[in-house]
Amino acid sequence: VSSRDTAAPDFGKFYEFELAGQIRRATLIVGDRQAARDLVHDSFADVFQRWTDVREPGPYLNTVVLNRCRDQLRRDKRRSRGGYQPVLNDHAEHEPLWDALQALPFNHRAALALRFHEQMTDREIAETLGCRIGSVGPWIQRGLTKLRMDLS
Amino acid sequence: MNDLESRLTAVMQRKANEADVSIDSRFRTGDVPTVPVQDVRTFTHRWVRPALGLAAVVVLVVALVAVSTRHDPGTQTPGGGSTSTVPQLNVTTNPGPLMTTSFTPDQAPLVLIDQPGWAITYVHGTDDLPLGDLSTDRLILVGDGPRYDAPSFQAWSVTPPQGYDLTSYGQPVSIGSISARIDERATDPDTGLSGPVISLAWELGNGRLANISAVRIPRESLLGIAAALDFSSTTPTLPPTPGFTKVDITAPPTWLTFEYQYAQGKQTVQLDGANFGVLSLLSNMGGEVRTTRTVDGTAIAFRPLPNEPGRYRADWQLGRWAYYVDAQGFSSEDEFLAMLGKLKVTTPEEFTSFAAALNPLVPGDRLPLVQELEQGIQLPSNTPTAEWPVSAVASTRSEFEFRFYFGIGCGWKNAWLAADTANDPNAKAAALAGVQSILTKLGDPQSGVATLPSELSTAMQSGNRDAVSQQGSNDCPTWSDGLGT
Repeated sequence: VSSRDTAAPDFGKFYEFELAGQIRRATLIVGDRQAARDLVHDSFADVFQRWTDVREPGPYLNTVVLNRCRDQLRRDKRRSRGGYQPVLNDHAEHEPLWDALQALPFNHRAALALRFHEQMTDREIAETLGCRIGSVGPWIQRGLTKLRMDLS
Repeated sequence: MNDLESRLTAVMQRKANEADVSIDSRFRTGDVPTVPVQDVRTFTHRWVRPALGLAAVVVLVVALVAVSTRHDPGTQTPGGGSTSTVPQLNVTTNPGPLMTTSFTPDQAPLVLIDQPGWAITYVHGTDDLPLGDLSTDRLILVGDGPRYDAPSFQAWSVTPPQGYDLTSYGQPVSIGSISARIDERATDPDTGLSGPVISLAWELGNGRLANISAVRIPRESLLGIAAALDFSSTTPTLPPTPGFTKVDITAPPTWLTFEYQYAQGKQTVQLDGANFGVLSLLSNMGGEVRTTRTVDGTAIAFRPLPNEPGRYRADWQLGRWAYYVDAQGFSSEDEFLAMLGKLKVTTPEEFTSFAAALNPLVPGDRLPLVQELEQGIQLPSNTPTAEWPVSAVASTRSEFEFRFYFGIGCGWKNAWLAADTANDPNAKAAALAGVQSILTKLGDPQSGVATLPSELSTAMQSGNRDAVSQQGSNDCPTWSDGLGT
């Protein structure tokens, strides 16, 4: 990374274009509106710092946001184990399907969000998550199976 | 689509619609939203901030790798402890008010709020961050007058992204014979404080762009200053400008940052610190218009937020350390300023006691923990330590523990991939055994700390290279001399 210098206008448009979709995606994956908004803005900060070096900022932002979602879930898991409760908790409302979705591993949850909210194909999901196309189907099926088990 | 899938689609649609997609208040809004370069760091300063992101993970693994490369692999046995030594610590042991206590750049203060009822809810620190992220190739001027009411000026050059179109930015303006673009705002949209806040950009003719960011400098004066700039060297230069002083932005020996969060009832406070002097300060303040307040004789840049009742922000700089506070739930400005006066630099012992619920690691605690974490696990051949870097900042045991095992797991992942490439089944089995030794040590494979080792173990047992390769994703280091390579 040569520097975080960049020209503002292009990034402003990029931010405006990507913001809502990225936050919605992150919200579905991490299950917490505030955390999703924060991690997406942190991701924009990452992209901004590398703006002059990134030729395709969209896919790069996708990767950064998903990595931060993954990191957030790991952190939530650790905190949950340690009895830690966030200062601001976004889970005031509980519904079984949503709660069951939040209990899934990252890959399953992300694949389900990309399929059932963004209507992506297996190939698109694989490209977005950076995985083999053959992994997508099993993740979705395992995720759905686990949801059925949890709801039964 | 079956019933479950339909319900899933519906609940996701509803939850997505509930997402908070508003533009961050620190972004300027308008027809063409812009993000001044120096504002970008403020995105990361907010409540319930995720503990550590990719960069921090990389920092830790960098530390692991840095350590590993100093080790003689022949002296390490699986399960053996570190033979580390403890370098001299640089943590202050002189308690006092944060507002009036200066530190050298290699000292990170441990801070608490010295008022009954306050608890610390988050502790995080980073060290050895790559200084490349903070370019010193920048000309910074501050004007005469009260420090945070005074004009400020920054100039630097950038290489724009491919396809960049300068004409999409702001309005056209002429600087002598130069055709430039200007974005001007009379007031700060969040605080209502008078600016102007002006950004200027023009093409330098060598593929780079000149950038100017200024606060409280009238347009015509700014254009005059801009016309005198010389961009022929990496850092722009300017003849002495009456009413302005050039600011020294020498890099510190090590870039340190810390982040503490506190709570008392509905009141919350976030305190960040960074040791890069005025660059750290301006990274937080950016193009925001501030005004000066004084706490215990120290001038602070105060940022009222009339549209967010109860919320106050402030920045200040003492020596090489710049501080940033974001507070919520305060009934008045006076109450907020009084709280700032209660920020107290404390000793490692008192800090440990104050933050006991978080199981903190203060500088000096890391080595014994590493020795404890190493016990009973197998390490990649070039991992172990001859010397463990002592952090100059505070963190928590759980986060360090997670990153330690994450780093070791990444090392075994790389070892497995190398063995797979070499078609060496024995080395692959050794890598799997190494990962499983972590799980055995942790006991609970479902624990958060065990996330990567657990998933890695499953992937390794499947024999699927792609499945192993994607573990750790981009969080694992990619350098060639890393763990297990």
